[in-house]
Amino acid sequence: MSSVGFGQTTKRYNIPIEHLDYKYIEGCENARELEKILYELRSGDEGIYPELINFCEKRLESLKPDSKALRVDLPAKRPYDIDNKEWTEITQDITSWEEEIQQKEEDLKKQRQQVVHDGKLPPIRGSGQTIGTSKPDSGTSPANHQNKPSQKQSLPRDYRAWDKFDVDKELEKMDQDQGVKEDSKNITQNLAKVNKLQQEMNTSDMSDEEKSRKAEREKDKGNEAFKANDYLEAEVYYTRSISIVPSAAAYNNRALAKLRQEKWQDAVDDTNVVLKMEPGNLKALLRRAMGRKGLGQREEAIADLTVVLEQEPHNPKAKAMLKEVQDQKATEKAEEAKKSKELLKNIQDTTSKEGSKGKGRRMVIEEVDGTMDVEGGDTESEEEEKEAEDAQDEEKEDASKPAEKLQEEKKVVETPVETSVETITKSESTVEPTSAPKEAQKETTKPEDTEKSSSTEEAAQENVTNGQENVAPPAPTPSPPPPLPDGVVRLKDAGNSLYQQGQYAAAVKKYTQAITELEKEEADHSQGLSTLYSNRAAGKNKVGDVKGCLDDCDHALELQPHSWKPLLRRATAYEHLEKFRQAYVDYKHVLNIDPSNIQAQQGSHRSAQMLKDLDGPNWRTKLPTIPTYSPQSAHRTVSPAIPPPTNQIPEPSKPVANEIKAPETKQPMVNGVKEPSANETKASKPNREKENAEKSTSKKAESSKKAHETKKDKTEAKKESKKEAKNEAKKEAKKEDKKKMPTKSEKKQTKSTSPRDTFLQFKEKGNTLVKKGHFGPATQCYTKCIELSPDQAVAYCNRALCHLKMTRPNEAEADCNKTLELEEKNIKAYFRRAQARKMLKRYSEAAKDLTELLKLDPKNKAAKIELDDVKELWRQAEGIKGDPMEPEGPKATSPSTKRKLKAKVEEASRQAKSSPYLFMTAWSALKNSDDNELYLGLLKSIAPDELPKVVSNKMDADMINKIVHVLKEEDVVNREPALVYQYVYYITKANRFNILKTFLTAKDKNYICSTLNCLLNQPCTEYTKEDINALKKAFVF
Amino acid sequence: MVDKPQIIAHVEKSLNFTLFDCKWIPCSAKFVVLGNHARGTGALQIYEVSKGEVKLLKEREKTKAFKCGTFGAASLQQRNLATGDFDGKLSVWDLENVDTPVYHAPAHKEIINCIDGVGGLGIGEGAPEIVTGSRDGSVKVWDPRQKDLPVATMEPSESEARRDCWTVAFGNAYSPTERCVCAGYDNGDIKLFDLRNMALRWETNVKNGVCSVEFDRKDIDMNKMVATTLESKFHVFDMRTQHPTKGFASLSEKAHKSTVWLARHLPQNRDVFMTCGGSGTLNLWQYSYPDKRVQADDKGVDMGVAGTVSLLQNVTLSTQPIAGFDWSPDKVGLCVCTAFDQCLRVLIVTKLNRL
Repeated sequence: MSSVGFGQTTKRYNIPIEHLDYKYIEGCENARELEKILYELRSGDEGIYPELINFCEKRLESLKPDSKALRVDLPAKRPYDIDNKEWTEITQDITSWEEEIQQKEEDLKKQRQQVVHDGKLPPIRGSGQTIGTSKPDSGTSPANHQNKPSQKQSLPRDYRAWDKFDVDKELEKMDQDQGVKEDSKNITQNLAKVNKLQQEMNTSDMSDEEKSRKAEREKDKGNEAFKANDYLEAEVYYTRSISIVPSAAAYNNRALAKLRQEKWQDAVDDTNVVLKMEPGNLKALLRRAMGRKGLGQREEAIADLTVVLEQEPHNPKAKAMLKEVQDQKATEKAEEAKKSKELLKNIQDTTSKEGSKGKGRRMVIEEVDGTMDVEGGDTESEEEEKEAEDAQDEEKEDASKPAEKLQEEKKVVETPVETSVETITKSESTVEPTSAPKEAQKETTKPEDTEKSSSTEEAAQENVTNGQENVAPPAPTPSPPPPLPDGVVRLKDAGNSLYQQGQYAAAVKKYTQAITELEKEEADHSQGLSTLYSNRAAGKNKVGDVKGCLDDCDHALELQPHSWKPLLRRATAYEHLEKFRQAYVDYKHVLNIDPSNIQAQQGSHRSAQMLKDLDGPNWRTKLPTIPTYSPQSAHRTVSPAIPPPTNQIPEPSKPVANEIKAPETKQPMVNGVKEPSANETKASKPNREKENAEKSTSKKAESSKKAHETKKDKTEAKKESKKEAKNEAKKEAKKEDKKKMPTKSEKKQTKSTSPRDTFLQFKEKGNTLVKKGHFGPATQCYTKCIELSPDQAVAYCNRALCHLKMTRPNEAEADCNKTLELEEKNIKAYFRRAQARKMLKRYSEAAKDLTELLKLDPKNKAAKIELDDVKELWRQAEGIKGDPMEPEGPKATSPSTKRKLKAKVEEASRQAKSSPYLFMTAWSALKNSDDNELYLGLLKSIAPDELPKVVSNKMDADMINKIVHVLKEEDVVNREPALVYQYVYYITKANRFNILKTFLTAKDKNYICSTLNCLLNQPCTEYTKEDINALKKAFVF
Repeated sequence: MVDKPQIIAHVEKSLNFTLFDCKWIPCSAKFVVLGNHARGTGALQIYEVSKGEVKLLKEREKTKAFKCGTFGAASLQQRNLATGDFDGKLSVWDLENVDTPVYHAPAHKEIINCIDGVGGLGIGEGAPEIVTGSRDGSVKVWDPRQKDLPVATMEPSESEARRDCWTVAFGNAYSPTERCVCAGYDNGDIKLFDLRNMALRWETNVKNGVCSVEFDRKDIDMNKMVATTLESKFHVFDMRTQHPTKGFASLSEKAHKSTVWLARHLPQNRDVFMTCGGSGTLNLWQYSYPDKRVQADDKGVDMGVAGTVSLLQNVTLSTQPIAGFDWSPDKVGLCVCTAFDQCLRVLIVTKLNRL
């Protein structure tokens, strides 16, 4: 501040000079002003104050993190700067692309010979025209008019083109040509432009490769336009893409673009195409639901949404939309129940009605739309990636962001849903009295015979092994139960079939009736009741009435304590409510009963992850106790291979019984009274019979299909790449319980392949899991690896990583130790052990590991950074520990002094290279302490060949003695003979050594020689006997 | 921000000539490098990226130094490279046989500073055309099917001063008839020529010499354009809405603390672009649209609204200006750049998918 005095301003930015001050900067809230101050300070005009600049930068960063003044150009990253894992991923990606593109190029070259261009290109522009580079005064100059003929070139030429000739468009074009002034109507103009875009592309002369590229490009353009909210334009580009090469992704995206423009029917058509191409495309289903909702086809929308939710139970959009649709439906029903039939038929009618109905709801749709925005804009492949990621992060995210989102959405929809449920129950209660007495009179059906139950068992078994939650609810008949009243059975059947059709609300109604019916019976129907409750719970769950579902499950479980279906349902319900603890317990309970239940496995895993995120590593301690289940206590014995036979689908033989026993039932009439909807009438007897008959024949096919679906589901849930074999997926899913209850079949599986292969398989699996961030299962994979061949260091090393990631440092350290036992120079193991020890706050050991590592791989940047980090922490920790001890330590080497010394050593070791002075001060500071370790640390901070330079002419006899002493005492001689040799060797190279050695006493010399002799005993290739002798001579003579 | 894109120097290779331009060969892992040998001859080299290295596949020395090149007007089957050289000659080369050009025209009296192509590679509707800009002040449009004569010329009249044209770019080629050429000059002029009407549609001056202009996409109804200038500035114009008097809305941004040599849009996402600086730096930007792209002025005439740009990443690669940069059209995030330190670098930009 020499150039200006107090009260003056700086030259550059006219800042009052007193503003260049800590206090002012601290108080300054104006980012712009701070930027100026920073520029001023950096310019150095007022003197250089690095601390103040630093302070100012920090302050600015807190105010405006993206300030231009803070931009720093960093050197480009090098491969070694990047996380190893990430880098291998990148390089793999690039190499695979290289191969792929090379193949494509080959194909292209082959095609090049085949395809001959046949002049379909547009004609050459009229040549030799000139445009002046300065603007004519008036909008249209005569010169321009002369140039106009060029436009004629653009008129269509061939007949086909004339077919496309659109007079209106041409007129529009002419209009545009006339005036630049028409710019004012830009939006309409833009629309006109979009219309001018050719919808169909002429691709006759293109090779396949060209076509696919072009199609891809048009789709990308569509995506970009979509992102910029030009939905119409986006739609046109998608159409163009489709006209070249139809792809599901383009259809799917076009559907979204159409949805945005509220072209519901078109959107539904597009999604139908997508679903034809890719059945089970969740996005398409979701979009179709949205379209159908727009059209007022609520039932269909709900059906779509339930499919989505079955696949992805956490999909917040689907959930929110489902609730909304149900809400709409419920209110509609309450108001005009009879019209629903018409509504389904008459689409236009409903859309207009819908439009007239509250706009508030539509706002909610808009919200849901908003969340889709990003995905919609992406290309499909990216979407898939994203989906995978989504799935990957699902657990974590669910706990944090989406959970919030969900809650928000819930808030929006909650009240209407509750009311809807109320209305439903009300309507139930009104219907019940009329039907109940009639059914009560009906005859009771015969108890289901054993044959039937065995066939049921088979079916159930199939279903369960496939891991599919069966759509139809169970009717358990393990020990001969009291026969259910006929009416109840029929009601239940009706409920089941309704459930299968996706009419959950109606199904719930039926079950409710059945329950009230059954409760009137005197006989003990606890089992039947339990099933009914369980079924109703399933229905309620589908309807979105989670609380009702929970209640029903509780009821069911009161009646039948260890039945897995209600447990599973309750677990999912809890999960929905984000009560993960209870959910986990229930899932575990199910697993106790049936360890091969895949849903439960997945669920427990999911909730475990969630809990881990919520409660940290000790989440298990917070769990309520998991109820134990012994097979003997249940009604039937449970063998792990054969899951409990519960009836899922109405038995094939049942319709026969119905036909014989109750041919005269008033069922159709009852149905007609109760449910006026079109779907309900479909469920009337003849149809159902047919269905059941079909079911019996197609059951196998169905189950296999289900199996396929489940596998898909599983792979998604487990975030595995699609390439992986299905078998593996299965195996993996079972892994969790393998630990607890290895079943015979599984054992067989592992035996069937050679241990080497399985080892590799498990390792591979573990690696992919790790990549995806699933450390729990990965750990198990590696454990399995270790079981298979305990002498493989890799598995230990990788497991250590998993432990680390799950913050279980103790286990990690143990694994690292094992690895290092097996493989001495495993860099990774050192690094991981260091990390583990860092976590355990054993910094000194961590540092030791890292220095060890750096000796093996001196260029390892990560290790260097880590080392600095550890040292920093170490110092801090020492600081904290040291202070309270201070008064107690009167000795010379009290902890506090030791700490200070250590700090000094640290300091010196960091800077020793730069300054011999620091080294010397550190060295002499240690003189009072007898801590050889500190000396050693200091010494090791300098490479042997640096020693002469660092010590320069400060070396004295004491120092030589001390160095040799330290090297011997600290057992370096035995551990690293080469290093010792080098140190000693470089001592002899130090300045003035020849003079120095004359100060060494005979005793000292003997000591040195004996040390060197020790070296001789060590197996080391770094030096020879001659070298040692030469060294000895150097000292002695 | 852990998730922001990273720019990774994948391969670096030092060469023995001055590098002016580099271009990926479409549908391949190869790229072409153009430049000037010390003795004034032209250098053309073809490299292939393979397993973390670049392999020199082909090398030719031509009589005149190459300044610029483009694949924009070539079909995917042919993939012919159009080049402009120091002598003002436009040539088109079949890369399978580089000995003689398949097309050549004495295009300009002086050095061809810049070249661009459209209508090939499935990018841009309509005829394949090449545009060249030269020190002689003219901008010429060529059709490789027509020998010797340009199909359109944009040059000042005899009386006017001739400015050095530094950059040209095609745009607006969304239908077979529509097409625009944008040219930037050393005095800061930017001119937009409408090839359908054969008229100057719009012009502006950005005060500093315009080093590079580029539309975010050539083959759509023109959406955005980036123009970079001397003295560390670049401008982004919203090209959707043209106001009769105010023209196109724009924003300007400071970058690089030196000349901004180039702007190149990511082929897979039009709202992401890289600028290359005279200090050997690369900046990666993302453009965000405003809530409303069009608003009415006080007279009720629509005018565009510029969005904002945010810096995604900035790195220093070299001490010399980076004069050539090209994104791979086939692989997201892969790019090659050349600097005046005679180095070519293959870079990888990560996480572009997640933007």
